Amino acid sequence: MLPIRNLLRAKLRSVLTLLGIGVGIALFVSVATMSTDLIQQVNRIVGSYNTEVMVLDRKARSPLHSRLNETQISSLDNLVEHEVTPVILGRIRVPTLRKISLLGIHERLHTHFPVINGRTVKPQANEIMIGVIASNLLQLKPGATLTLNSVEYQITGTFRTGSKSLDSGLATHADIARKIMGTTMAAHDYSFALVLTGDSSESQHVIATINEAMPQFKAIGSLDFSGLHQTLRSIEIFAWSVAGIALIGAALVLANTLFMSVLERSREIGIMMTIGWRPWYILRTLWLESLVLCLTGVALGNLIALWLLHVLSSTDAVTSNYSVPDALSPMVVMFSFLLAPLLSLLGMFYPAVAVFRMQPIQIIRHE
Amino acid sequence: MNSAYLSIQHVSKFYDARKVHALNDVSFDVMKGEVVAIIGPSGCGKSSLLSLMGLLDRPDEGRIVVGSRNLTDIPDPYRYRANTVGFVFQFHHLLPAMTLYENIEAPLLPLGMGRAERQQRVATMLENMNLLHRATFFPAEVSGGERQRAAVARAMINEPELLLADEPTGNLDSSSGAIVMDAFLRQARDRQMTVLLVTHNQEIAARADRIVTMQDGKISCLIQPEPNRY
Repeated sequence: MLPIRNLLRAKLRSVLTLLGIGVGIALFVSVATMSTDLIQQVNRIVGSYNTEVMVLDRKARSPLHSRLNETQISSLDNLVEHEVTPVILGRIRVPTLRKISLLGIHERLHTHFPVINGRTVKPQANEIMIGVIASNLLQLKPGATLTLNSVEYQITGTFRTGSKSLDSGLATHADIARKIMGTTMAAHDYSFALVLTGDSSESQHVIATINEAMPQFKAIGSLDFSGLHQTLRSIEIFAWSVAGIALIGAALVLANTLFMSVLERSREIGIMMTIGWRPWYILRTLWLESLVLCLTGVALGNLIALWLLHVLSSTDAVTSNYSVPDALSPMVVMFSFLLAPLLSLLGMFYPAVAVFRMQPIQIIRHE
Repeated sequence: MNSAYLSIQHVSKFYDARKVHALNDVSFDVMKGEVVAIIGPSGCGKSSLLSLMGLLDRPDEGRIVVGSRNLTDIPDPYRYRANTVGFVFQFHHLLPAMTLYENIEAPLLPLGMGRAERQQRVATMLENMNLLHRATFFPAEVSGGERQRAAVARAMINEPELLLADEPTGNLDSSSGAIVMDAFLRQARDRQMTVLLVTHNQEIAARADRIVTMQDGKISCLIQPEPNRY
């Protein structure tokens, strides 16, 4: 109780210190969460690219222009030993937005579209899933309906793949996608096929086999992500540097408060020394105050960070480039609470020096 | 004949690079359980002498022996103060964030005493000082006399051999001062504490066993103790 009573003696200063620590921790938690999430997103994309081979019509300028019929897909299936799944890719016009991508997939590809809200689509039903970025831009949540080519489709879920282009679009069952695309996609046609190898080195082998055996196809995969990894590493270092500076800022705010507190209470500290309290014992009581401030500040900082991420994740400017998580990383939250005692000790350093330099005789003599 | 409990031997203390001579070759003895009043004008060195005996400061010359210990040789002043000395100041100097109970208990905390024993000691002390009804009050919530009684209780709670009091009633009116002084002397004598009491008040000084008068850092009048009395 004594630490809380002492903190309440200077309410405004304690509140301002709490806010200072809270802002520092909020910055740390939000930056660390976004950085961690960004890396996870990119790794997911890189991972999926490395374990998939995309097979297109060799003459097509892009996957959007590629067309494969069922016979071609069947012959591809006979050639490779891995699972082959056809995909429809198109661009469709939706209200308020010019055009967004539409993916038509079979059930076995549903795992590539993790649903974060709602559920996945059922075959043959007029149902559609929406990417998290498109969901924010169009303000469409699961349960809402979207009219495409005069037909109403129910939105069953929101997915987040981590890929900007995929998360900015829609996904549904292949047959429904073909229906939505109308005349631009002939019956039984697909845009391209994915060969799910499950292994990046195997992907290279499959690409070579397809390109050699089936010259009408173009097999691609395993994009070069070395540059991306380097950029990502730089972003990671920058993010953690910002987070570290935020923590140092919080420690300085705390140190300033504790130092002021020590100066203001120098007479009391002198009295404690005259009744036999050693400097370490006195510092223990000050550290408890510091710890209370830090733990409360960390809790406040996490709440601010949660609010900040919620705001950022629903802001177009940010989500148009990167899908911001709207929840805190449990690891980062746990880490921030583990940091509280360390922060409280860091903030104690200079006040501790001041206490050790105090001589009770000088303090009492000043009286 | 009993030997002196406290022996101050040719003690000098300087301040401001020896420009100020606070104590100048001061020597006197105090017997165990004796109450000695130190009187003299402001700045004559009374408080400086108490600081040296409480090991808040060290003498520049001479030595002070408490019991059988030469204070110059004591390496841990905190332990000495926690175990041997009790201080009462002119201003109560209670810790404002602590209740009277907690203030009185505070000197026992560094001694590593068990909670039950601490509680018993503090409760007894509160009762003796007629403060039991104020135990949970903060210093700002009680009268000046009660605060000073709590300060006296805090000084005595660790049952010190040596009690150093610097104008303990200087901030109180005469009636409150008399009540505090009664409690102070009664408790000190009951517990056989050796008391050095700095005061300006002749009436209070007259209640001591002996009076030491100081002037300009020196003893100007000293009545030696009666060896067989203690």
